[in-house]
Amino acid sequence: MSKIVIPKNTLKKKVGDGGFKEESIKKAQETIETNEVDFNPIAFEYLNRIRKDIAEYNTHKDSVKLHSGLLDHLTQLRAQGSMFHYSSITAITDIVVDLLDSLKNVDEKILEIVNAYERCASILLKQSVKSDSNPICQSITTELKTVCNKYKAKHNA
Amino acid sequence: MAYDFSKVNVLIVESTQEMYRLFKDVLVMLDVPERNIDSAFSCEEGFERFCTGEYDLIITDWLQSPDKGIELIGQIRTNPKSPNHFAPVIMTAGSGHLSRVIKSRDIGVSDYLVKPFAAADLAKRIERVVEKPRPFVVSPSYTGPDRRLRAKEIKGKDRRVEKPEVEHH
Repeated sequence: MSKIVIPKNTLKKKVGDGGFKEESIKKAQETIETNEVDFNPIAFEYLNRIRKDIAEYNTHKDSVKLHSGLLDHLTQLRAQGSMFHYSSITAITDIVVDLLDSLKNVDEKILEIVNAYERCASILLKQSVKSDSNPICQSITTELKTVCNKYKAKHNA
Repeated sequence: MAYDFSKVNVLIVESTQEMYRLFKDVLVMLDVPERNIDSAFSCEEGFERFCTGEYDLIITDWLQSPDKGIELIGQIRTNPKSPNHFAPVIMTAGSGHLSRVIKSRDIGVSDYLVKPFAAADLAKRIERVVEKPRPFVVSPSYTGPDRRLRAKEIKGKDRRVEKPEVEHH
């Protein structure tokens, strides 16, 4: 039997009324925009994990495990790219995450796409292409979108 | 007058030190005292901390597969060792794909934040769990906030035989 429970709102009791100060939200946003985290080592670590997972797949052929591993690394890259000033990485990763999120496993074509993504991401990082409005990033984005959309159309993903 | 976080304890469960530090710095700017913010970096560590501290708010990453962030929320909601099954939990993830949102909703998340995020987005999620907490449904198959965000009018006869029992905690 189900029941409805109305828990005590202790959080509300503790914080009181009035919401967040506009000034505090502004300062918090500045903190995000001015953080000095070097994204390169973080990103290369995730790209290495992608390479390792693909190498492991080539031995064991567990496509479900690879799918879940790739999504782990890619969602981190997507999330952290823009947080650490690389909106270019977020932009190109977003396309691949969107494709993988609509699938349950991976096939050889997906591997080709991920390999191409990995090479492009490495180039952006090595050349310090940070902005998603950079022409190099935009042309990679367009290419990746085309390939992913073709895959989706062919496989009804 | 604004929110006073001086007595609020927050647990952040993140995948990396860098993301944890950024979350912490943002929360400090949002007036949460630094001493009130704790960290964990895995589902297991997160649940252990949750059980030993008195946390008013948990912010967790999706964490590594297989869905460790989801597992953490499940533990908070249903593990008998959990000190507070009704604690507000905000899931943060690098994808807002519908399948992930549904998975989070079905394990009992209070709110969902897609990364990258703006400070205003985080503030809005916290404000929502403070001001508009949903009643909890406790059933053999689900424990968590009521998944219906809107009350829908029933067309025709209400065929529910029994109204659920309502309990105030």
